Amino acid sequence: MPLKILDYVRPKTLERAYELLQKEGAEILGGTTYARLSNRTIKLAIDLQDVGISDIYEEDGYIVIGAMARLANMQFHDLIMKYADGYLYSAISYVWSVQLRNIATVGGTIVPKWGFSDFITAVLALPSEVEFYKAGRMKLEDFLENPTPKKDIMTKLLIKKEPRKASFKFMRNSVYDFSIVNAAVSAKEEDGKLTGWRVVVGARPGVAALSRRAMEILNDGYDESHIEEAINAMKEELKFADDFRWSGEYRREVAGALLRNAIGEVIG
Amino acid sequence: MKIKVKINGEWKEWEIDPSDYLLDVLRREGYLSVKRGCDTGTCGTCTVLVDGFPALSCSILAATMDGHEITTAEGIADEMEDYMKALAAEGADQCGFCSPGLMVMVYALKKEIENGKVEKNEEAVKRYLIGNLCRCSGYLGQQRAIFKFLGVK
Repeated sequence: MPLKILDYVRPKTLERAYELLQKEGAEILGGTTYARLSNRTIKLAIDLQDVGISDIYEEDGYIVIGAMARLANMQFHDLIMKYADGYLYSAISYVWSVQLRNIATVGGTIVPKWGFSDFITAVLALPSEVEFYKAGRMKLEDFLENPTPKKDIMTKLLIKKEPRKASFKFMRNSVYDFSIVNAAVSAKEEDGKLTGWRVVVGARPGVAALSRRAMEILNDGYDESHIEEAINAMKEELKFADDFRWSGEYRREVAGALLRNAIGEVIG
Repeated sequence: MKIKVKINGEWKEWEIDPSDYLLDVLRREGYLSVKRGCDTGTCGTCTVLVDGFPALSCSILAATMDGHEITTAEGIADEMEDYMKALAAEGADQCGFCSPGLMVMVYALKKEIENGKVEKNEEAVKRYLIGNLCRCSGYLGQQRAIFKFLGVK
């Protein structure tokens, strides 16, 4: 049985949307692309297209992306195209197809914590936060590592605007497919040095995660021996698992290779 | 529930169920260029323009389209006559099942190239059209036709 929606509403304000969401069986609609593949019944589907959380702008040193912005809106926005040499523009361009990126929303991708997501991996490699209507602002990694705020609405993704170099890598069976494993790295450029390293591996096949040990090692130095040590630390620290595509062990090895390439690109 | 949409330039009001996806509604209303291929957001045969941008009608809830503008292959057929001729000249029309969805994408791609959002070269064109699958051809006939139509050297 396909997805069944009993009732649909399009509130005009976030406040009203939040009120409606508290009803039993009420759910927020994201881009509705993935919902298509489920066979659930949603008693009340809440569409956020009119509540004013689709804009992308700069505020207090952050690039703010409304949760209802489409992935394509974000990809082609000037702020994103210019950030870190077009790093996110390029990473998003590998997410499925043009037609899908025009539908899928930023919130609809982040909130479900999709394990296969390239988008989450790419964004997590940047210092970023998410904001919820009631739960407020939190670091993206804290959101991903903790239970999702219940019956709440993601309103914004915030990416800290600072000089960063970043690289996103993936391995797929074919280019038009999900990544079997992906990795992203970024570092802040400060007085000719690279600091504040962030190291992410996703599609493990679990959702993207930071390797804090690898980050610590790279913050200490990024010569060949530190890089080697950081890759080994990532392999030890992060969990990899089998699925019908690849084994966890193979993913772990490939993740190491992707990480090496990504670090190399960041160092330049 | 009722929705009002501007379809191929004309406002229409349709009675739909909140569970309906746009693809189902369009086919029910007679827009048969919109094809159901994979029905899982992959093959691109159901591509239509929503507010001018290509989107998968199999993956959009019809209810969310209230007040929006939708364009199907029927709505751009006149403008795309040269493209269809180019496709036929390369023998790339084949069974035709994927042709309307691909035509909508090529139409959108032409606009993106004109707006400077997509580069006019082989690689960029192939990347743009990655979400349109064809099960009869090896894509080469289509590619030749598309490159000719867009003037990709």
